[in-house]
Amino acid sequence: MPENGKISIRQFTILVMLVTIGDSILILPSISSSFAKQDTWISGIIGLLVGLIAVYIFSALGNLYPKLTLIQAIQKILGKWFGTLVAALFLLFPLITIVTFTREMGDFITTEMMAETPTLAIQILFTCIVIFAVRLGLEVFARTGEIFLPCIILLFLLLVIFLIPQAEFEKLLPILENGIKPVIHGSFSFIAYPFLELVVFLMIFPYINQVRLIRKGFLQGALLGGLVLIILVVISILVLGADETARTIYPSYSLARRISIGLFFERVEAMVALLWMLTIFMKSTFYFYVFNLGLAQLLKLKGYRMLTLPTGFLIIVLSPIISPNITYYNNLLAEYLPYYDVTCYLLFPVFLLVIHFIKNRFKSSPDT
Amino acid sequence: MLSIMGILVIVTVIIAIDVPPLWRKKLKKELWAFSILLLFGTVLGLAQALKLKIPNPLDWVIAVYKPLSDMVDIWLK
Amino acid sequence: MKRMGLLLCICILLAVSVTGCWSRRELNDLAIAVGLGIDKVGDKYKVSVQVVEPSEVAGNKSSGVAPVTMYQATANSLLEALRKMTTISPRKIYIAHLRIVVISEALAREGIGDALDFMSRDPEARNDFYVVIAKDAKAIDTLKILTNLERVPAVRLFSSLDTSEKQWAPTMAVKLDKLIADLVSEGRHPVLTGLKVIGDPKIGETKKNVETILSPADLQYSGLAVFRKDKLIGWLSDEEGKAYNFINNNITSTARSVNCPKGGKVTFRVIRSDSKVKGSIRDERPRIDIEVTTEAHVAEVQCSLDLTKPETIKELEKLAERKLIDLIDTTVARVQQDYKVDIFGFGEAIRRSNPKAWKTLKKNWDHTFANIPVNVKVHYKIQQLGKVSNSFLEEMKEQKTE
Repeated sequence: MPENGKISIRQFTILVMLVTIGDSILILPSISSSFAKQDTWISGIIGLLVGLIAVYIFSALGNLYPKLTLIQAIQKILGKWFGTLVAALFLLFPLITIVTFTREMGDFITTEMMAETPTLAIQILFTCIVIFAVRLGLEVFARTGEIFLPCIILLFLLLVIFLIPQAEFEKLLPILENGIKPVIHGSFSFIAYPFLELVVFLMIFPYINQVRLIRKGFLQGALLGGLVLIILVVISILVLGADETARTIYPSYSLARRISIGLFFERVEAMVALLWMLTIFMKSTFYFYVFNLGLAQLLKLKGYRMLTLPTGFLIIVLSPIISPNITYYNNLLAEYLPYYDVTCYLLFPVFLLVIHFIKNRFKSSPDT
Repeated sequence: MLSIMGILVIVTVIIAIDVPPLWRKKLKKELWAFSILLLFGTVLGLAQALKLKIPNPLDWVIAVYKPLSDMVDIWLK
Repeated sequence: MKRMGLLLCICILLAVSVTGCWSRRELNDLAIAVGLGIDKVGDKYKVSVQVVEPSEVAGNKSSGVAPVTMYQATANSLLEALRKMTTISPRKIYIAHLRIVVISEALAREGIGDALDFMSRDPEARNDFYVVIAKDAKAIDTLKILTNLERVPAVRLFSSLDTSEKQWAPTMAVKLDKLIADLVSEGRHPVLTGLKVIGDPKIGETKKNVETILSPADLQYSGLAVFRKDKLIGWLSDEEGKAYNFINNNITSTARSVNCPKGGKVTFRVIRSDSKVKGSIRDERPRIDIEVTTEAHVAEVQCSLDLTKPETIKELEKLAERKLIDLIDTTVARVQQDYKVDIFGFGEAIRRSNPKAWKTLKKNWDHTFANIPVNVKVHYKIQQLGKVSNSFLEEMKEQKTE
């Protein structure tokens, strides 16, 4: 077993919450509101509801084999050869996803803060921290999440409370101006990025010490994270308005720039930026961990730590390849990646569940 | 030239950190996995340093989902 | 354990000392721009920046040099002009601390949109500066005037706009994001405050301007510039500017006088005002209802009134209501007739209340706006009388007649 640590249900819930917020806090308001305009909050609620159903499906799949990680479960359900092949393909998803995170982080910092710093320098530093965290193991970064949580909550409250004076409720009107269709379109990204990407938590089910409570913790974490995102979207629209939220590449940062209390508490955006740096860090670390752990289990290695440096290197090398410029990337996020997420992260687990039940039916029917 | 040097230095550092313990414990399979991954990364890195054109895997993703995305765009307009 | 602690200390020290060194900019490498003027020469932009002279602004050690200095350059685009300035300026122009952007009227008549993109795109530029229009003047000339009380003219322009909006309310302090939101909105056209140079600009540019008690030249905000999309098409007077602010719920405080029934004047200090603009469709025709609720104190009485009687207060409220309704009515009518652009956001109001009807109305909105019936309702509440009840003028008069 490459991983020997165990985490508590509390740490699991916090981890789920932070991963749900993850990079969505930075990119989601802009993408979703480019479709749904001032009704993005409705998209958010739809996203949360569908997301919770998805999480329920994930936990159902996880509870079938509570002693196995997803990679092992795939091999068990689909048989040795086919299972190995599918598991190998599945591992590509977290790889691509984490490469996009690295790209996002670099783009964000060079766009908003350090315009002249090469993106590569930021990506290398960021990946180094992620590798470092993953090498320390699941227990350590689960606890890191626990320590970061108060800081994240505090920063988030700071952001929201200090912006309330600038909120204009008229900006939410009219509700459903163009009917429900754009709202549904906007909810795609709201379902995909925060919630569907949670499927990777199936990789750590065996390392949680109270199996009974997993489903509850999973749902709780996703719910809390989803609420944070909905509040963020609402405040973006109340303060920036739908047009500007959609036009700005990083609305959360624009929001933080707006903070101005009595002409002395202002220019705090760099401080508030810590909020999403922490959540993106947690999400990247978790994905990176899952990728390495999955690869180690697939190849039946004795540990995953020796894989981290080569894979980290691979990620840095891949990140300029996957997106030639920011327009390409944002277009990808808005138009194509949600469907990709649905296929890989929702249809695939459902497919596994169905295969499992068909197999069981055939197995049990001769007995009766 | 500088970037090629940089890549080689990073690769050397990675090997220096992780290979000796694996070698001592004679973990053959792990060493193989490590080397293949690192080789893959190095080749990609060098290709970029030499400004070769590398296909973008996300272009394939786009190609696969483009019909669906276009359909949804029309349907949800 | 000790070793770990030591290691941690070293790490923290390292982390602190190595952060952000890549594109670091030392304070003494930057020319901090506080004001930016944009003019157009031919099809090029003439950009002028007002840069703080650090040694003059810090502490009390002024050596008699102007507190700010100005650089100007002409180029195809704003960034080119700003970068071109380095051929004159020893330092890079740093625009994160901009307080005010002045756009010349001539450029505004051609359209300000192109000039604004840079401001919204550049990561250095923030959203906390005001945008104003230089009325009958070049932008560069307004930034050349030396001012007193606030030594940095751009800071003075910023505070003056802020204060006048809050205390007298004929001006609109418009920040970039609000301006862009109005520009892209289908149901509202933007307005910007006008800035003009009064007195003798020749002296205003010299130190003499701040040496005398009454400055020979000064900068004054005056009127609101009316835009059709990004093109300036006309001006509103100060009084009309006030009406604009009453409609748009942008009154913090102001002063207004009315004629007494028997001659003379009473002045009110408006302390609070709240307005609602409601759009509706009645008989397939759009209409607008404006409801203003204003609270005021009596501030100045120059006529014979018995303020101890509740009826007098009622009567005054009626008079004030009438006057405010007239002001709003005439302003709206003038904008409808003369400019035919919806600067009040009536289209937005209709869109909010009836998005379906708005879809067809928006195609020809400016035309519809010019004929839209507007119904104004004002609730004036007079609450306090100041430190005295009846004016001493009252007693003075009584003694006379005895």
